[in-house]
Amino acid sequence: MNARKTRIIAAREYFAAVRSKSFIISLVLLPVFMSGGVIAQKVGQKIGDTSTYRVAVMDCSPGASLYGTIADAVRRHNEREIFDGSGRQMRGRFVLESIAPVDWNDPAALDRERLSLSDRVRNGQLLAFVEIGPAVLSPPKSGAGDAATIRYSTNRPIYMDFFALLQRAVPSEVVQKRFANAGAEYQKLQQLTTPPPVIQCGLVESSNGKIKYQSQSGQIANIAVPIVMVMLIFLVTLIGTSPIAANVVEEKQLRIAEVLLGSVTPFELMIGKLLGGVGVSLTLAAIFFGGAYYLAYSFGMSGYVSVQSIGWFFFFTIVGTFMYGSVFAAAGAACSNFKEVQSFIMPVMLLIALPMFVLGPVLQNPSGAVGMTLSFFPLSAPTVMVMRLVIPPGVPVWQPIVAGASTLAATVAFVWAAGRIFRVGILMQGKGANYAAVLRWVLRG
Amino acid sequence: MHAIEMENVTKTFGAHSAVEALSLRVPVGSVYGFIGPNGSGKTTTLRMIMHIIHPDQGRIAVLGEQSCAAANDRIGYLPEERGLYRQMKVVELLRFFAQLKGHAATRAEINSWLDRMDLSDWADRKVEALSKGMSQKVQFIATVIARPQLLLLDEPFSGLDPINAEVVRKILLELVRAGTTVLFSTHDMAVAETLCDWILMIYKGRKVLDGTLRQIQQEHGSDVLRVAVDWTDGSNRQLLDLPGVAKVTDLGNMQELRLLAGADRHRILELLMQRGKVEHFELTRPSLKDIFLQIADGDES
Repeated sequence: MNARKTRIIAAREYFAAVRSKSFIISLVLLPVFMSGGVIAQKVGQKIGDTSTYRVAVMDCSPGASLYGTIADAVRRHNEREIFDGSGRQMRGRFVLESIAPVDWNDPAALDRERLSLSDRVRNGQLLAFVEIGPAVLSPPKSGAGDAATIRYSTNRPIYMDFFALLQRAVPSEVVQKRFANAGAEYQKLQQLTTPPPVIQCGLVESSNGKIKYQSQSGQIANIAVPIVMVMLIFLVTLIGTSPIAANVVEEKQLRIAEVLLGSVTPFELMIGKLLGGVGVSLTLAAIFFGGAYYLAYSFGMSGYVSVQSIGWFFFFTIVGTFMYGSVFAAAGAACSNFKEVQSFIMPVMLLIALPMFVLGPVLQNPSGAVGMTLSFFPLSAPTVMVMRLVIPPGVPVWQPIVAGASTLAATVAFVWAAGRIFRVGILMQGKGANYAAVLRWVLRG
Repeated sequence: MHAIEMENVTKTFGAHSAVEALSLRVPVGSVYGFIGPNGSGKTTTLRMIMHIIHPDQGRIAVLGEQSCAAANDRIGYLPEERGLYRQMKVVELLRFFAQLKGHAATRAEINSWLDRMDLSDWADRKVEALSKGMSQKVQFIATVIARPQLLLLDEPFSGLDPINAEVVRKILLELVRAGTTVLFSTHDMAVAETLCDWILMIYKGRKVLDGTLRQIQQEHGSDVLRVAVDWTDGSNRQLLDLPGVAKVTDLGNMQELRLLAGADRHRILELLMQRGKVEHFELTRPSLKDIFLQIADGDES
């Protein structure tokens, strides 16, 4: 292989990619995509909620005494809880509407009332309606059913503010009233029956001679760092490699391929393209990783990613780019248009994207069967092993070495096979090849 | 010394035999024409010379090297189906192709080529802005900019207007005078006749002619008469009955008579003068096209 020619091809591919609009868009969109949830939340918090929500309450408890409890809680909410420090309204205001209690022994009347209130919710007149059963103040008995229940009905279950208010205010008041009805001293019993809190903490660490618990940001970092790392490696490798298939198809369609083959061998051309892709991935990785590391450093969180993990991150970025890139190059050579490439590449894309679907199980149990298997399976190893490396307490030293070696070996095999497919396919015009033909090219050369 | 040597080269694609036991030698410094109808195996042969595809059998040596990689930088190749990166500027593109051949083209050198091809104003424009003809000229520059010792051109004149075809022809002859060997394929036999020192004709994958134009004409061609006669009333207008005439082709205003070896041209003229007023009487050598048609006819029969 002629290194000079490969370098020239790689340089052309690299500069063509980084000057393209899609690369510039990736530079902007990737951080937005990765921090989209946080940004949306921050923006949401900044904008605030100045709405007024109307909630109907039908209190069928004896003396309708719980309506007042809810009204007190709503008043407190509207007066104190909806404003930020500067007095700006950030959360929705509630307005209560009292509904005359219905005779619980007349199920038809109860159903009519429920339907009427539901229709008002559907029409947008109400956020929700609350039904307080007539038996809620009595000690719970089996078979009491709806009568001993407080029901909150809405078609916006995601909006939880009023439901949370209800949960905070009403059940404890109900218990107090039951105690009072039974003549028991509630305060004392409450103190005795309050269970000790069980809280989740970080580890204890020594900093500037002081021993203290890990900060809350440190605990968040334990979860955020693996997610950011896995997203980063997944996206930079795909952004660097997925255009290769389109480029190869374009070179075939525009008849550039044979012009190039007058100067370089198909293998040199393919390796040049892969190196160009690696360059693009590393540029993205350096920009985003550098940016993320700087931010982490600024917030004193840089210690959550070790130097070894950074080294492995870049190693797997390079190897992953070569491996995925060879698949894309082969697909481009085997197909004659972009549509064919998409369907040709779909099964491999599913395997490459597999780690994204199992983030949860791997985060929960990094050394479990799913995490272990996927971190040694070459197509998913670059993402899953990097994720496991940064989840405390990390992995034994041999694991990234073995995963790296197996991924490297698989990459060599992928590049070799892709080279054979590329050599035959690059000059092929007309209809693209099927899987059987591609396999034949690999086996026979 | 030969720029290209091929010995018994065979290439098949599935059941189709593209090239069969082809041998050729291209002398250094010659203009070697590779002619034949479409689908005869010309492009396959050029690709094998460039080692873009590999022969099933046989041996190919280029510029004395068995491996194309060793000689590649000294070869300029213009494929029949050609294209350029549309997003690159013309200057960048020419520099890129020169670099691939190990030649660091200066801006002055690139400008000089663009000037000769009347493309100076397009140097800093993207390829996508060029017309088809302009793109072809840029493609030609990209092929020759590294001053190769051997030029392989697959249908270099196709798609060029007569003015640009003449520019390309002149540049090719200049390069040959400077020592470059040129092998080009064409299905336009008239171009081969005027430009080539040496001609190889390939038909259905097999070599059917190989030599200088003179040698080919002597070996394969019979003399041809072109006549125009103003017939007198009642005269015998048949020409095939003339002694020594093998075939008559009506060209419209003229008739073409293919003569048998040893035919008496004076006797034919006498007989024609008896039958009418001879307005045109021309003895010509057979064209490559005639010879090819003769061979093709024989092959079909």
